[in-house]
Amino acid sequence: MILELARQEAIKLFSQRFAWALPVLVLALQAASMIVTALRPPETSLDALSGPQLWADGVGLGLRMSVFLLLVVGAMSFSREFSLGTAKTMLVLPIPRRHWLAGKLVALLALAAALLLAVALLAAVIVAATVGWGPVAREGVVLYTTGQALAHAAAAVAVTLPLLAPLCACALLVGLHFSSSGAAVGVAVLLGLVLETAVNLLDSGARFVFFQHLPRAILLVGRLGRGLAFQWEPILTWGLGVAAVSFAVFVAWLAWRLERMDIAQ
Amino acid sequence: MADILRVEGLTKRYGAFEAVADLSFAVAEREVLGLLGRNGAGKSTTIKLLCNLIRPTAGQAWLAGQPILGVRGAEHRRGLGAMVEAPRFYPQLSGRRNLELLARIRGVDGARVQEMLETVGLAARARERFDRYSMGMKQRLGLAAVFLHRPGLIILDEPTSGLDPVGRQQIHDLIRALSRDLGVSLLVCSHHFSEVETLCGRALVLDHGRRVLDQSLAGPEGIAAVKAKFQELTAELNERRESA
Repeated sequence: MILELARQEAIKLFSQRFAWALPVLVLALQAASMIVTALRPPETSLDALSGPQLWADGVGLGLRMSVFLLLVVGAMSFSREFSLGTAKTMLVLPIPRRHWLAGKLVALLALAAALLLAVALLAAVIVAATVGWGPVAREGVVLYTTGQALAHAAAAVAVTLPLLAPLCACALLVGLHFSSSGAAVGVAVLLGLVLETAVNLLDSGARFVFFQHLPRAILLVGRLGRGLAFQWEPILTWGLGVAAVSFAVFVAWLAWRLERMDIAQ
Repeated sequence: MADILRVEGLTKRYGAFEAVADLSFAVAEREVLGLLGRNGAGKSTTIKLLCNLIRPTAGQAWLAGQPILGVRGAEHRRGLGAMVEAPRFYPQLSGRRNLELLARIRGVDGARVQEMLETVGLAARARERFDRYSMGMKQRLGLAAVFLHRPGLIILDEPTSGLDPVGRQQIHDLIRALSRDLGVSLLVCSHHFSEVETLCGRALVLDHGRRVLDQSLAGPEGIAAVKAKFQELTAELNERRESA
């Protein structure tokens, strides 16, 4: 039943124009930025752009925009049901409220996965078409082979997906508190801006802030592309650990709030 | 005849305000019961309590013998169909698509969706977006949705709200035909005496969340008693408004 509800959420979402327009906009901006970067001639041989570095920069940008997209779509998910009154139609059905929530969460996570995949694949195509993946070399010394660079890129995408999960739950939680889609989206965008600022401010410290780790796996691949030290350990321990705890807290909060909620209006 | 719905001591308080106060009643199988009262009498709150949209302060209700309030899970709602306040569907989806989504959750096949669209006269316009439907078409789609899974009890909250007299008559005819064909019990909530008189065999008049009259509408005396009580309550409200 949860998968059926998730399928229905996807149908409802993609029957709206904005659900197509926003991802297309994210991908277009990412592609434009990457192509401009790739075509800019390096000033010295040390500035020469490697494939993994271009890929990481492109995916990092796409991901930051995707965070806003997920916050907006997630915040609208519940608030739109309340503003349309369809929450009443859903809650009269023989489905527990927690299944309704799980359906929305699964659909949003599927959207996050699809976005991440699209952003990563688009970046890979642009890299292949411009600077090429090639081995990562510095001053003639090969630091990483093409296979190693690609393996790191794939692992970075895989690790980043669980980091998006608490963000999706947080967006749903925002929407649950508003019966106006406009207000929910406004708060979600504000939250995104606060997170973006927090990521920039806390970039060199405060490892417990999970949002800081969101693009970290991708950015580390960028370090690899620049021939710098590459460490997975902080992401696999602090990043995923904090993300898992945050996700559990947000989901428990969502379930508790939805279960106790009176749908009076 | 056995009761399909039994309500005992149903109470809903918002702070000091009692929206529904110790309300008890029952709906027998195949019975059509009307909840009649002026605005703010507690009708809609009662409906929302029974539909699990709001939590009661006290009391319990049984649907086909199974408790339905404050119960974990949702299987007990399988025998219930309800349209609360107005038909609410996804505006960007077609009428058919909206019904199909509900049908899949309720385990109803596509043939039944088509059958219901034909029954309510929407088959020809089933592919149009819901937000392009007229008010009457929306109400008819709402009825198709609540009768879709052949429930034992159907709750209709102001089923002809916002319709002109012709539209109201059409919806009344449709409700009567559908409930007769399926043999379901109906709980109809309205602030129009004529609607309750047309559709229901018994009326429960509410005021300030309390039951003030429970009367059969089988004979002219019963109809007159309900009408008199309702007019008395309405006149009282009008006087209070004028003095304010």
